[in-house]
This record gives sequence, C-alpha cells and structure tokens, in this order.
Amino acid sequence: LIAEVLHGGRERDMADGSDQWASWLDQHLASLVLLARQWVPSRADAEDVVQEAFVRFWRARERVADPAAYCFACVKHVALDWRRQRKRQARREKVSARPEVETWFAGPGEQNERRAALESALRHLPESQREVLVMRIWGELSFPQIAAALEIPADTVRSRYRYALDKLREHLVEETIP
Amino acid sequence: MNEIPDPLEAELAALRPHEPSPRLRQRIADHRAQAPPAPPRRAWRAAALAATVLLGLNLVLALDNARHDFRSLDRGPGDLDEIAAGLRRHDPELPATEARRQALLVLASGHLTPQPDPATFQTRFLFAKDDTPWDMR
Repeated sequence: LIAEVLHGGRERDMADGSDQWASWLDQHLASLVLLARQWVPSRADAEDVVQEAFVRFWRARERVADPAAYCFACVKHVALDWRRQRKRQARREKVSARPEVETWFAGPGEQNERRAALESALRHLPESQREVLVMRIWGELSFPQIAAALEIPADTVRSRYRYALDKLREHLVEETIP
Repeated sequence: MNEIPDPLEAELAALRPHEPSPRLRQRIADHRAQAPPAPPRRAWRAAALAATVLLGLNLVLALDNARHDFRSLDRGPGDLDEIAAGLRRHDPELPATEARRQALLVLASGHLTPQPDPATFQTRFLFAKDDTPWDMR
C-alpha cells in the first residue's frame, strides 16, 4: 500500500512525464478547443479558454487522480466562467450576441453537406448531452473519466451518451425527410 | 464500449475538429517552460505519509491519556468507603459542627433584632401611619 501511495497509479504517470503530457496534449488539443466551443462563440475565444484552463490544470496536475479528465473539466469550468463574464459585459454594453459563423469541424469540401447536417444536429443537442459526446468521441475519454470530469455518476454519463446519439439520429432523419 | 460499432458513432468520430492555431500551442509551450517545476512527487508523498503517521500517534496518545483520566474518575462503592473512612479518621482533631454552630449563635445573639411578624409585615408597606391606603391619598 505504501509503495502504491509513493509511486502512484498508472493514470497519474502523465502528470509526471513532461514528454508524455506533451504528446497527449498534441493529440487532444483540438478536442479541448472543440469542447470550449460548446460555450464560446468563436475559435479564438475558445483558444483563450483552453490556454487559461491549461494554466489552471498545470498548477494542480500533481494533486489530481486523473489528469486527462481534470484537463477537460478545467476547460469546461473556464468556458462557463468566460460565458458568464461575457454575458454580464454584453448586458452592460447592450451588445447583441454575434451570429455563429465558424464551423466546428474541418474536412474536405465534398463532405460539406453531411458535415453541416451533423454539426447542426450536434448544436441542437442539450448542453449536458453534447459535452458527454464531445468528451467521449473526440476527447477519447472513458465513461468513468467523463463521470470524474463532470462529477456525475458513470451511469448518468452512459445514459446521456445514449440519449445524445438517439436525438442525433432523430434530427438527421428529420432533416433528410423534406 | 459497444461490441457492434455504431455507424453514427463512426461517422462522428470521422469528423475532425479544427486544428488549434500554432499560437495556442506556442502559448502553452511557453507557459510550461516558465512554470516552476512541480516538487518531486515521492518527496511530498513521503512527507505527507510521515505527517499522517505522526498525527495518528498523537491521536493514539491523546486517547490513551483521556482513557486513563476517565478511569481515575470512575470509582466504585469500595472507593467511596475508603474516602469516608479517611475522613472519619481525622474527625476527632476537627471542631465539631454543632460546637461551631453554638459558638456562632452566641456571637451573633447580641446583634440579632426580632424578626417582623409575617402577618403585619405587608400592611406596614401598604398603609401609612394614619391607616390611609396609599392609593387614596
């Protein structure tokens, strides 16, 4: 037990090794930005959120049980803070929200229509289901990791994921039927 | 998780989020370079473990002391008899309670005044010398 306490679990190795962390970040930075986009209107703002979240994460990485899950959790919290501040600022300045023009996904032009349909379906999902989907599919987190990041039971994560897929299917069918 | 791959899941996974800008990567790399290195995990874990052990030892000692104190307070009837016997042994050397009371009465007798009669005590306050009630004056 003492050896386990002193050496730590495998999940925490990433917090130790700077190289391991750098490669994980390389793979997942795009999905972290995508997660931030769920609450933030532009890609530039989402990148600011991810940077701030990273600063927060890096400070606490030694103390967390699952660094990957914690990193996603940081992005969500910072994005929500950002949105709250922006709403307050918008109310003060009476500035109307900018219309969403930037897409979430990149890809070849010939798939534009299908990609747009999927993205539109994703945008229609409730936030609580969409964040689970983003963490699972693009963040490649396991259900228990998502549960840790969102501080909810793993069964709730599973059901939200299932509902999200069902709703996406419904939305896509509705769009294809004129 | 699912054994049978869901076509919709596969389709979603095929979508690639936009690549973050090189500026973001650079900012993160800069932060990592500037941030102070985390303390060696083994060192702080060992310190935390030692602190926990010390705390535990203190707690055990405190509990042991408390238990000892309670035991000293927990005296049975035999212990009370012992205390009473000890008091009785010293009784002849102390002035008797009755003798002390008598001496006090003698000393105080010169200063004592007769106690007012309870039957007339209240009327003295309710009536003046001319026997007129206070509220009729």
